[in-house]
Amino acid sequence: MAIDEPRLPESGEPPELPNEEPMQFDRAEFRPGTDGGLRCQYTGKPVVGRYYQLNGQIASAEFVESQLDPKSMGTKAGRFFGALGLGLGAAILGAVVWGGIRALTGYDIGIIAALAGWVIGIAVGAGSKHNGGILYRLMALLFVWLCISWSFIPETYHGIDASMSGDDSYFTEQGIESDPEFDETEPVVSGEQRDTVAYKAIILLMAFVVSLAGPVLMALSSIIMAIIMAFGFWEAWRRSGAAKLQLNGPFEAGAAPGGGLPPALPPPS
Amino acid sequence: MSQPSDICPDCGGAQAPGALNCPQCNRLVHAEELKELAATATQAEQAGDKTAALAAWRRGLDLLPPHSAQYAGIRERVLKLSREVDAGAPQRAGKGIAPKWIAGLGAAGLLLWKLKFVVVWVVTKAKFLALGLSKSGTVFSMVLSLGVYWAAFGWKFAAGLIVSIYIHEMGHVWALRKFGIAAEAPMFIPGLGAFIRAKQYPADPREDARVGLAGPLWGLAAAVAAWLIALATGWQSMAAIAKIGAWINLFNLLPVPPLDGGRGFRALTRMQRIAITAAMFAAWFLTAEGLLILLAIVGVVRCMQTAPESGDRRAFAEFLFLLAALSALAAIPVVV
Repeated sequence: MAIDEPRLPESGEPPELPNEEPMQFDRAEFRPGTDGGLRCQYTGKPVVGRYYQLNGQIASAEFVESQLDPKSMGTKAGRFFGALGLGLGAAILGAVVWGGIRALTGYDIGIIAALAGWVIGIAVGAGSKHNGGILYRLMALLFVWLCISWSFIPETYHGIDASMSGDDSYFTEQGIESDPEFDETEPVVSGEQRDTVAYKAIILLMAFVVSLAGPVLMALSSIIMAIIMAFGFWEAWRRSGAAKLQLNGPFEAGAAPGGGLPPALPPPS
Repeated sequence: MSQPSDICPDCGGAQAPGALNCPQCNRLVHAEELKELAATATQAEQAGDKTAALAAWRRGLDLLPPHSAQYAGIRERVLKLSREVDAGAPQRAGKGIAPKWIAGLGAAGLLLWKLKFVVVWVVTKAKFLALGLSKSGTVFSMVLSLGVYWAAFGWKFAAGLIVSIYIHEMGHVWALRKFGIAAEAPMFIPGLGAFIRAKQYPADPREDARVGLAGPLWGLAAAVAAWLIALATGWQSMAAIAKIGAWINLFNLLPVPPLDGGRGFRALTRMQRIAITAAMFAAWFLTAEGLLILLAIVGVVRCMQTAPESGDRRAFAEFLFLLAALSALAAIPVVV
């Protein structure tokens, strides 16, 4: 339940109105010494000379040319590993935040899945230099899946450990009814074996694999969680696609820096 | 009304489509509309209708280059009017003054007069709540959400939940309209709640806080109403709706933009933020509600960030009140 709204202008405060006279709306008035108000909306710098309209925003020729330069796209391998690294980082961060909030509050706040999908999509998109393509979209979906799965690793780890060692107190704490058949089975590992690094590593690996079923189990447990996760996947798919560039121009800024007001102003209305 | 053009009709210079002024001669592309809006706003101000004046001036801001002197001048007027609306200055002359014959009836007459205002308040608010249902997008998304919640929780709880969320959103709409901010009707997202897309931004953090906290305030009213019905009738489903409604509104107090709590925090000084964060920890200690520890941890982070030097007392009081009331309501025991 949020309010989405446009952002405030980013490049500085407007000048003070000089006096209390009625405003005229024929020509824009700018503080003497400024650039006539035209600024690159991507870099915030004043536009001098040529400019473009990039996706509806004013963009200086310098910025547009730097974006269209093939060198700025990097190599294919660079884009792949960039997307892989950033996407993996976002997935781990999402899993830690989600798992942490679950452990802290006891709630599975589903909106985090949608948020994670959004962040992962942006990360993969940025890493791939917004090159787009099915590979990056699938990569983003995979990272959302892993993010959701990995958030369950702590619970899965403890569950497997408790099963292996025959310690049903963990399940009692979690409110899971004990299975009489389970109670009668002998522990698979002894107390000494349980403390070894090898045992912990194996359990962690098992938890990693078993947790991959997490998204399916969550979706089956609640239609609401299924919908929220679908939002997460959709966001990741959407954000990891190719950047759509709508370019108009070039235009000429014309007015020299410091142009201020035009020489002849019509009388104030 | 002038339309954006690629060629300036005054100087013949090229300009980007959608540009607000010609970069060569500074001609304002929407000059005629701006003049009409200025006239509308001035008339509305003279008539004492500050909300209408605010709406017209804000529309004017959308049509002006943000670095122009005209933009700065109108922004000043918007801020002044917004503060007057906030201070509860009378919108129209004569409103709220009791007729002489009422005074003649003494205390009973005064009570009758006050009661009239209560009735009018309830009727206007109910009328306003119905207003949101006139938008097909709102109704369609609401029905879709209702279906999802129905499948998960049953129709009674689903209906209560939808009404709670709707009232919360209409609280935002009411505040946005009060300040003349253009916004779209609420849209429900099944499973995630609902949102409103504002077309303009608040003039300052104080206004942002009013708009942001209006949702939880109305949501709290809805939750309290559900709880009172549960108390009167013993209907536990209503108690459950009150509890979940309070929880949802409490979640919205998470001090992270763009959530309502994030908007409220924008208007607070560092000391006010620290006090609210301390209250969050205290509420968690008293109620053991897990959500409150999350609010408190995020609050600690926000305390470390840049904060305004002079805070808004009303936003601070509203935030504290909401925190206390919603925490208490979210902690009510419910047996379903």
